[in-house]
Amino acid sequence: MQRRQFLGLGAATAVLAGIPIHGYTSDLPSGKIVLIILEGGMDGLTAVPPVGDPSLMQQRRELVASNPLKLNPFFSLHPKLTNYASMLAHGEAAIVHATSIPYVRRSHFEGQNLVESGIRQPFASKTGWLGRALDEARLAGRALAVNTPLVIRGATAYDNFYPSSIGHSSDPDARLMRLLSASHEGIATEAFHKLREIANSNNTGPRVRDPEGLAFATGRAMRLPEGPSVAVIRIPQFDTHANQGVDDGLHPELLALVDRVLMSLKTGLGPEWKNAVAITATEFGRTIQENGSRGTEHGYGSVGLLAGGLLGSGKVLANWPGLRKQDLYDGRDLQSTLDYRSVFAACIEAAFGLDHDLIAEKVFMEPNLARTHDRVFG
Amino acid sequence: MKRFLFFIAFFATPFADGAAEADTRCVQEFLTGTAFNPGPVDGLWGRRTANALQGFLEQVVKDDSYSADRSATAEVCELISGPRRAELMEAAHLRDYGITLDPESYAAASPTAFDFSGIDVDKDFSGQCRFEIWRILVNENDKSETVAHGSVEIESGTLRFDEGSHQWRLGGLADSSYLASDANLRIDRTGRIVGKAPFFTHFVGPGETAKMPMYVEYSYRHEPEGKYPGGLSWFSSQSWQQNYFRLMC
Repeated sequence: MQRRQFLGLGAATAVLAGIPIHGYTSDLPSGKIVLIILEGGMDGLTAVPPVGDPSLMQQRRELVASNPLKLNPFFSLHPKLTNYASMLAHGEAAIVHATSIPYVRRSHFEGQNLVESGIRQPFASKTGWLGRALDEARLAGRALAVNTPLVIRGATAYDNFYPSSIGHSSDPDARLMRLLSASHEGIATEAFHKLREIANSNNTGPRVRDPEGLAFATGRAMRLPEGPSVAVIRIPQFDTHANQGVDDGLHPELLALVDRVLMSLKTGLGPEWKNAVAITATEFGRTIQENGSRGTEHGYGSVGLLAGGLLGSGKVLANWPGLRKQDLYDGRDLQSTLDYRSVFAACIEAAFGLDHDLIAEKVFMEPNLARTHDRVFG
Repeated sequence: MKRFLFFIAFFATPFADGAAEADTRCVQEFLTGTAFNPGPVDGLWGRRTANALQGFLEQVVKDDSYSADRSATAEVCELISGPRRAELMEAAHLRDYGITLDPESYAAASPTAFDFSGIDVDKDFSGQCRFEIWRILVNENDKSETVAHGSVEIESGTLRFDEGSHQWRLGGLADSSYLASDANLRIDRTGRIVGKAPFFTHFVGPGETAKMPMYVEYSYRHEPEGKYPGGLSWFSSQSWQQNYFRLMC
């Protein structure tokens, strides 16, 4: 696959980054990280219900699937996640529960920004945690999409080739770029010219728009020796305020989609799956109790699903806070007992071989961030 | 001397209990706030403390010289009060609840995994061959069209496709890299191809949305229809098409 083809793929909802550049890229062996952003706030208690906690049935009986897959005496898995169950059974997946980014204010806009920026203050960073990690690992190359997602924006000069302020355009529209280039001078003009060339040359190239095909094509691109190290896939619509569904319906179908995306990614990555880790991230969980519209409201703690050969063994990790009224955050949400950025940090350490202290300080600006690498990847 | 021994015996017992209680308390204090909940910090050795300590030792310390025994709490207390305290505390923040799913009941999640046991693979056969994959469109009066063709190397009964050695006529993502990297096919002694391989089901025109390939299983038992005789293998992809693979060596 050629570089220009990545752009065609990126134009849908996946973005690839960290393509090795000769003379710049470090010699550190590079694993692959795929960040799957579940936008809207995934209900972690539905995806991975703690059936061993007696309060679960008291608090949300109507939201627990009727035939969950039993992972161990305490946790089960939603029955739509069958491929993922297989990965867990074969030691290539891990679950981290009762976790969240450090954000409690329940705004999608702020939360989604923090999932990508990896810091504590919303809209306070122009770069994202994966981008900063790529910088530290000297894996520049950046995203090949016009609307570079925040999460992979780093500080290196290469970013200038990819203007990130076009609002929410996700298609490399040649006309839009002509307009933009007309308003810039000097080196920026040249950058836009290159982008336009790429966009034009790819008009007839294959494009994959369904999330599974996208995950598959992403994996295919990443398995190449010169392929990208990082990809981001977005799955929207997890904001299930009404008719969330239990065995079937919106939320279960979204879980089934996540399941197929993970499987397609694995298929696409082929032999590179053993050097890869895919990790889901969501801006917050959902309230423990159902609302009047058979949905749930914005919550706090949720679950993180990880998959990939780098994980080494199947596991469910948690510092379980409990679900009694007094255990809940604000009396209504699953408490988060782990800063989820610790798990991001573990992925960076596992894939790029960077030192944890460096990751904590330079990538997450949080020198005291807990190191979870040995537990997650052990 | 006798009086002295009596003195030791008299005072040592409560003193030892006191020490054990202090060590138990030391362990409980450490584990409180970690993912291994020992219950109340009361210096009393109970089931919850024992379970929490056992989990902590198994998952975090991973050193057989420590045991979750009431009589061994002094050593544990020394460990968790020593220079490794912060590191152990950090690692103990997560507890692994384990996975008890039976791998046997979950097929390995690989789309081309195939069990060749019981199949008489022709290991004596090697050589350069040509191949053709075509389809019969059931809904279009059995219209027949070739979708891929080219050459394939056979090494001891295993098919090896090289990139560039063959081509697909379906557009979209379909190119020679898929069979080259993902095919898991062998030839048996009757000349049929067996195993699993990627297959593109749809024609994709310029600008259309591309589809990922299906991973199809080449049938071993199916006898081809009379009008398609010879060294053929059959596989199933979609209800509206019949698929055949012919090897020409």
